[in-house]
Amino acid sequence: VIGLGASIRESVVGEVGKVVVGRERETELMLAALLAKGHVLLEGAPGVSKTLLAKAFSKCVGLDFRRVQFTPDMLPLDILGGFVFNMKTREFDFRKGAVFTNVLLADEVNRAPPKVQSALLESMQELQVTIEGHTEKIPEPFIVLATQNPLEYQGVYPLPEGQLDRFMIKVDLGYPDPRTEAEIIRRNLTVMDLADVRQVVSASDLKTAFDGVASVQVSDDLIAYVAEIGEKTRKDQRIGLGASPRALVQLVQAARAKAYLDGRRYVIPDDIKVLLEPVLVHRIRVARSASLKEDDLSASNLLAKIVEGVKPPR
Amino acid sequence: LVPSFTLTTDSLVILNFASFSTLAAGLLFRRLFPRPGRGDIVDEFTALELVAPKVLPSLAPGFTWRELFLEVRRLRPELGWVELETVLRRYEEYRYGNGEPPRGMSRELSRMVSALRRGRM
Repeated sequence: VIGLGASIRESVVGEVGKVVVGRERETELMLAALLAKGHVLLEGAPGVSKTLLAKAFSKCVGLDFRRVQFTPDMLPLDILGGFVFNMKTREFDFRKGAVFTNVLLADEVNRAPPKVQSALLESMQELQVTIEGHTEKIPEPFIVLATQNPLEYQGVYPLPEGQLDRFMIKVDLGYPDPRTEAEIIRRNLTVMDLADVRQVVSASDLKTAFDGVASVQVSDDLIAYVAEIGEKTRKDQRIGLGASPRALVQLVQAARAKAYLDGRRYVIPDDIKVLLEPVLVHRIRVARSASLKEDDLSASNLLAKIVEGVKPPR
Repeated sequence: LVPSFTLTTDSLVILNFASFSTLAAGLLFRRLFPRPGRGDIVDEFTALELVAPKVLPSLAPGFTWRELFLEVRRLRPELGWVELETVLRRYEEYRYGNGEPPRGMSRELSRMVSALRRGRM
């Protein structure tokens, strides 16, 4: 069962790599989030293959997939669904919205107004939708892959801290290096189609993998290590908003998934360290007073400095 | 008889001195340059944790075993890294995965600890 994790990782990374070049780490993070039952925020400039990556990923894990392009004129009804009058039965029937799927690609999530964003984020947390007293469960597994473009300032509604905290992992998709970019151009000279991507993980393998992740051990002193890091982010004067308990829970869950994908039945401190940046940085805010004093101060730098000083269990 | 007796006593004193000096030198040498393959794997990891930060100043206080091994590998690529990685996995399984303590000794791990103790990196 443990060996299955490594084989799933290898086949998904290989299959996504057929159409998306140089995004192996990002694919692994998405897979870890899926197995840890978390959601992913993909951030990057236009044209860095955010949408393609999300589409290829959902295709190879063989889950039901829906895409919603977020716009400023959207309503919560467009995502969640709502009651529609049925002329035949002369009753109101619940019509399910796009959120009733396994993989929801929320494209340009920061272009939708806050009301729509909060409606989506509530369903991400609760795994259910409640409208006018009627509750509908969202099918499991459920993962939201939301994309946002950090460069646009006009007509966007940035996600507030409380909503960013719902995303287990934030993946920053930077520009590829010249060698990778050359490979992307070369591949695009011939037909590079999403149809080439096959489903490589069966439903039963996925279920086994979820059970496998749940059986991965986390020692007590490793949990204490994570708690100490969390406390240090909250006590550091240079940090205005530190890691929440939810963030730390998600960090450990993601670490379990990573350990499983690496073929281990226990978490090691390195799993935690590797995931600190994608799991914690988007939830940490540098204090205004500190950023005024030091120009290049970022949440990422501060977190790295904090972790350097915390002794992991050895 | 007297000269022969003195000669015997002197010889014994010299022999005694030589024996004890050799023993003391041996103990001192062993302490300064421990031979590989002496402690078990868990003991070697304990020793490693103490000695590594002194010899490798680039290592942050929050270092992990894998970071330490990576750093030593960069400096001493000639050590038996296949064996060292296996030993590390066994130790991690014991330490973080409730596994059995790794039994026996590892010659390569002892070599690594000795190299660090001597500061030969």
